[in-house]
Amino acid sequence: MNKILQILVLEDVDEDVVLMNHELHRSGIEFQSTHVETRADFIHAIKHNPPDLILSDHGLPAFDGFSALAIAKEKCPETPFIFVTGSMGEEVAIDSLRSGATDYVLKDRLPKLAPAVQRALRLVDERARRRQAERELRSSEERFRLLVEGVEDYAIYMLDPLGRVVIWNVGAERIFGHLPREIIGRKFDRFYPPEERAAGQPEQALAEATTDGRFREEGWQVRKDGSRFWAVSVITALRDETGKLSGFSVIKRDISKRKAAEDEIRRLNTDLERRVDERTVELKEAYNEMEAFSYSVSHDLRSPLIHISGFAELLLSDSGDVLDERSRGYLQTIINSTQRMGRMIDDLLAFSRMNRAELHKVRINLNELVRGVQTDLEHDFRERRITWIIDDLPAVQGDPFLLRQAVFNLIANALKYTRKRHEALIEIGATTSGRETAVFIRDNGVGFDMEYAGKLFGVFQRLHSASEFEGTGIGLANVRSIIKRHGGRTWAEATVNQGATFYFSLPSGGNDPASPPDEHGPSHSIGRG
Amino acid sequence: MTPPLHPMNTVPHILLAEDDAFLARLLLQALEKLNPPPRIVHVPDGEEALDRLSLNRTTAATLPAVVILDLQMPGIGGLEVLRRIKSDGRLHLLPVVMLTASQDDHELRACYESGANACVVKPIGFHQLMAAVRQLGIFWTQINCSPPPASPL
Repeated sequence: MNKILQILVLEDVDEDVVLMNHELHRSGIEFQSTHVETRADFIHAIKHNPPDLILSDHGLPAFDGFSALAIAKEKCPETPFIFVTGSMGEEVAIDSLRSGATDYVLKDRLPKLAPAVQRALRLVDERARRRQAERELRSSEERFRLLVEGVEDYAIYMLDPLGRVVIWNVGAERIFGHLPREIIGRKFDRFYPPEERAAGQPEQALAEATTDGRFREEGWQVRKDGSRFWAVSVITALRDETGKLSGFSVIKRDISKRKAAEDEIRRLNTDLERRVDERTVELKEAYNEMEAFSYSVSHDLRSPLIHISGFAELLLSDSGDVLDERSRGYLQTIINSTQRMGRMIDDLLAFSRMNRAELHKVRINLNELVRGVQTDLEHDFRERRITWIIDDLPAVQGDPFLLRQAVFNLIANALKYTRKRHEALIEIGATTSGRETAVFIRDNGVGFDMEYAGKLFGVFQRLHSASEFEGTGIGLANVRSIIKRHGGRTWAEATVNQGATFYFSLPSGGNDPASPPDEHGPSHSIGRG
Repeated sequence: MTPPLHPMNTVPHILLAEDDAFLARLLLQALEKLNPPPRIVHVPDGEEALDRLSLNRTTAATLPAVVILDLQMPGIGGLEVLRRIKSDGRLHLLPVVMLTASQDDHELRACYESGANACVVKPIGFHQLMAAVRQLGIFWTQINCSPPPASPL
């Protein structure tokens, strides 16, 4: 405080006033003093020029010190009041202090006045500071209270060490439905469902919070009306400065919606799993049906064919000589057709078996594979003029048996459709782009009309008559199926009478020996036997 | 056709179990063309095949030289008859040929795993059938008709 200290002096002896001022000046206290002698002047001075300190004589002719003290206590209770008196018995001195005087100094010991004044001022100062701190604390508590009370989304309440509610905010009121007056003083275990109360969960929660300082739990809570909600709670143990447990603060949030969403996700996942399971069962059933179908094809379709061709042949061999040439021709046609149909059925069955066989991928040297196929087909072209142009082929990843079948079919095809050429030209090569390795087999054979290119790889699709080029029409279907199972593609280009080029591609990733062996195969395969 | 039992008949015969009457007829025709034609006992199902082989109907001398079993038969199927033959100490040396409708590997594997001596995929066409039967006939009725003589030890 930079203000000059205002001292009100109540004294009838002028010399004493001078002496007092002198003492105070001597000790370096800066002050202004007002000197009064009567009650009226005293009151007037207090009212119009409120002092920071009052120095008062005890015995005055027209006024006495105790009356002045009483007035001062009433008008300015905070102002220190020091008796400065000629003589004062011990009893009077105690009385004066009891009545609210700050101190007393005897006139024959005036050097003690300055320290007494300074002490009194320090006391005032301290008291003011304390009051300020208290004000600040009160306002901070008020802000906190307003904050807590204003929170609606969270139930915030405080418990005493025994778990009874002592503070209850509007969030708690809103979430639980209890008004503060209904719940304060009640035990908090009523918020738990009966089964958890029976299991001692509320006590357990407080015990854990007490031990660990904090306890978090998620679970059902019960509203006033008995309905339940899913809440996440944090219980914090509160301790006073000595470390003694003073209660608990509880913050709780209704997360029923989140819980419901989580439950829904869980339900959907379960549902999805169930549907995947169902679908798997359906697929297995479909697979089994397929098995049953091929089984039935092999047995039920084949048997009548065996009968027809068998008896037709028997007829021809046993009674051929009694039939005329034409009838024998008819019989021969029956025999040929049934045998042809038999081959188709056998091919179809092989195709279906191949489709169901498991893939066993390994690294394959295509050069060796092509050489092997050439050797196998050698007797088919021994008599023919064929020029082979075979590039250096890359290694690929695949099922050696199935890929060999595919390459075999394509080369056999090229040989078959170049049969009418004086000199067949068969070219085999490969190109590798970033994503796939494409292998081509090009011939200078009869080719085909590109309009029908889409039909090429279908089962029993033939672009040439069986009389012109033998076959059941399943070879390219096999190629496509094999390549598809490896994750690759098949396509072809041709010009009628100019030759054809057949392509198949395999994913280049399959080249990487580190990649899983059956990356592109079906997600499940069913073993045999 | 259930020919009367001839306990003293030592002509090697073939027991054929086939439920498909037409195929059975074709097979009989094919077998009859063998030289010399074997005696054939045809039964239409597995039960009768087992009955034919049972202790009270056969002796070691009257057992068939070879048993031909259709894999697919109603009731006791060919595979089951095969298993019972191969697990019967009295019968397990009998050569058994299985007739299958397709080259399905798991069918063929099941046959061989159960002890079949041969598997024949029923061919389409009488000549092929005859060729198959002739191979079997020559092998099983002429080369392998009798069990090896007991060791002189």
